[in-house]
Amino acid sequence: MSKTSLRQKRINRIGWLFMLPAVLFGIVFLIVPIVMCFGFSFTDFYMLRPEAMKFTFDNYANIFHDDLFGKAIGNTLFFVVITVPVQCALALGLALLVNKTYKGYGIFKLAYFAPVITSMTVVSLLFEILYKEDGGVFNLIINTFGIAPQGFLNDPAQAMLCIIFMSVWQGAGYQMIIILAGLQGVSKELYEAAELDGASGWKKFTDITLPGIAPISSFVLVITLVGAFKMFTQVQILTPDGGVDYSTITIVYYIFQKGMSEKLVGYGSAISMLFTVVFVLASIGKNFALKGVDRYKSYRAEVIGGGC
Amino acid sequence: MKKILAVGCCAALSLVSVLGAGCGDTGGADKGEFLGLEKGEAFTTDSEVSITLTRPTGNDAQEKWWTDTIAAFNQDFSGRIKVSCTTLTRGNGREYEQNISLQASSGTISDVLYLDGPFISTYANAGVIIPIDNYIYEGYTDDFLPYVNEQNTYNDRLYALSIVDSTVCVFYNKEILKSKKITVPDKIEDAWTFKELKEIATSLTSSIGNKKTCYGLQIAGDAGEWLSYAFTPLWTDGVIDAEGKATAGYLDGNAGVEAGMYLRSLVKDKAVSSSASGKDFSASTPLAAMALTGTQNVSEYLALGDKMQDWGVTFYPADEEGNIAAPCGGWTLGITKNCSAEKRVAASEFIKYCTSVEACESCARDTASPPSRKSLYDTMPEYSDSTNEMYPVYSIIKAQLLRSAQLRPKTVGYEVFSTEMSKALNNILRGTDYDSQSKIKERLTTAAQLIDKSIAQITIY
Repeated sequence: MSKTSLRQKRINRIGWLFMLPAVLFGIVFLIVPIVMCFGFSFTDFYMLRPEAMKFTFDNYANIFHDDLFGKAIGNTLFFVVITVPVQCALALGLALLVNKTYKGYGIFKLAYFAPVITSMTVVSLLFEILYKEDGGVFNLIINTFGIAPQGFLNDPAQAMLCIIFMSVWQGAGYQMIIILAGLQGVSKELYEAAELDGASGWKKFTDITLPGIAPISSFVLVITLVGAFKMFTQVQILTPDGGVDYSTITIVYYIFQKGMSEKLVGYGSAISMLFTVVFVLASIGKNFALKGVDRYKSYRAEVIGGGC
Repeated sequence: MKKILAVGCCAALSLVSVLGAGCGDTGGADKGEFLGLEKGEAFTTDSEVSITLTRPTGNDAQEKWWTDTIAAFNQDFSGRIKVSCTTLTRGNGREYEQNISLQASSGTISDVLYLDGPFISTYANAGVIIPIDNYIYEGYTDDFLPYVNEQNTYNDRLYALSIVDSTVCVFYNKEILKSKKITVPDKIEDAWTFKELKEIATSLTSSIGNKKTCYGLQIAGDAGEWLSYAFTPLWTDGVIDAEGKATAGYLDGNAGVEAGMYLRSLVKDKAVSSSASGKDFSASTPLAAMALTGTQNVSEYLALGDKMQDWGVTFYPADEEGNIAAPCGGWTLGITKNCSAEKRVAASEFIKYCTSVEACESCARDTASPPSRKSLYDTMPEYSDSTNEMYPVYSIIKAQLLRSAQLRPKTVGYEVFSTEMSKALNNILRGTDYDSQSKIKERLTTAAQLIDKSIAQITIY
């Protein structure tokens, strides 16, 4: 064996050693739980009597007759569909605002980012006071304009929107910082050239800024999507009972309720597996959408003629 | 791909079977077989027996009582039994029970468990706790209140023993009621009915400036169980069938819908606030003139010192026929399946020590909770001596518990029952569109269906 290949082998071994903690962590806390969850989903595992566990397909059959599961999926998708675009758009808007160097811009940056470093539990407790129907701050404010007090969290039609508003407010700062990093990576020369060509502000935004931050936007979209699908804390704190008429019950909340509160681990695991399928489908849908946008851009550049 | 899937399935099922195999079943002895110590018989052993206890974290008074009692037990049984204690957060919901379930599932549950009374059915049915009547000599339970013994029994076997109990009363601000010339009943026969309570509460609601309202009544409690605990007696036909397996037709029956309409009318008539919270005994300007609250808050009330004089206590409301069915029930000590056969006598000695007359009395006094033993209502000055400073409060509690106590439902699905019922009542109280009878009935039916389905899933396992 040559010296080079021996050396290469040693380097590989060291590389694997460096990777080992992360790999072990991933196996123990990710792969094993997923495999176990998959296994449990085919059992009638009741937490208080694990020894009586039996193999069954009933969990998957029962899910399709479970009204609350449908409600939880519907609420989760509603949350995702509203929160992801609104939060990303807001983050982009805020990033554009603080991307310019003007007096005091650092304060704005800090102000927009501050909710992110506050825990969701604290934010939820704060908004619980704001949203209170009787004597809550928001109702006191709208009352001064002569508007009747609103139910907010007590109103099934408003409760999820209230949670969306709070979540967007709390989370947008994080995406803003990532997009800001992307914005600062866009070459200044491109803007200067566009200005020389007489491009409008909007044209510069659509043809330089957006393509410039496209890779980072895709990342932002993914993390926002994942975060939105996993939404739990807000519901648990603001509407611990899942909201009036289960109006805020989400899929993760429902998995927790079935698996932990009712101790039906087998059933909870089956819901988790189905949720994984929904999540994978949503991710595939997102990829298709992004590819569609790319194709349209290429088409426009080739046929219509892009550029500034 | 097929190979990967097959390997994945095999791995999953192997892991599942390994976990299942790790949890052996260790049931109790047959009924009638006595394995414990007779009255007055001392516990002897060749080597010290270690017993573990799990209990929820309590308030300062409860923590002190447990620390002192366990220290005294370890001293008295030095060299024979040593008890070590683990505390878990009680939480506002079901955090304690969730932790216990995880421990039961992983086989790490302690030898002795402090659990809320209604969970005896759940844990006994699942084999998490074992019967203790094999270790408790005949006559030991005679001094306990009959309903306490009933609470601690499942399928005709004794599973636990209680130290203290609880109930719900109406606390009222003397000054506010006096200003409205409202007289308060001091005999249980004269207790307000629910209807009267609502009328009085409605008349007491008033504005206190700064856009704030002092409501007539405060009924809020914790998120997990409070509403079902406090208002189950409104279901005069019962909330669940005799077997504890079906709530359909009970929870959403005629009496249930009437109960729901009553609770809704409290909000609609502004007798209560749907969102104001807190027993505000110490507030200079109370946010509610009266509070329907549990004896777990009596210690807070007593801690007011001189300010305590501002507040009085009266009975839990009666139905229209004048019958009171006061909520009751407390925490109990049981032995788990993890306690090996050799340690069970020692564990039962610890339970007897904690539920002895002396221990029950000290716990009742230190934590301001009603005792679980009958005799203490005659011997503790707080309950028997009319000149005692605490007598006015405690005589109300005594009358309620000795004459009108009603246990919480006995069902293996108590957790889902109490949670779903509380959610439904919370919706009825807080929801913006619950003014029609049909909507209330619909919500109670949804709750009943969820409860029954969950109980059915539990009972087939």
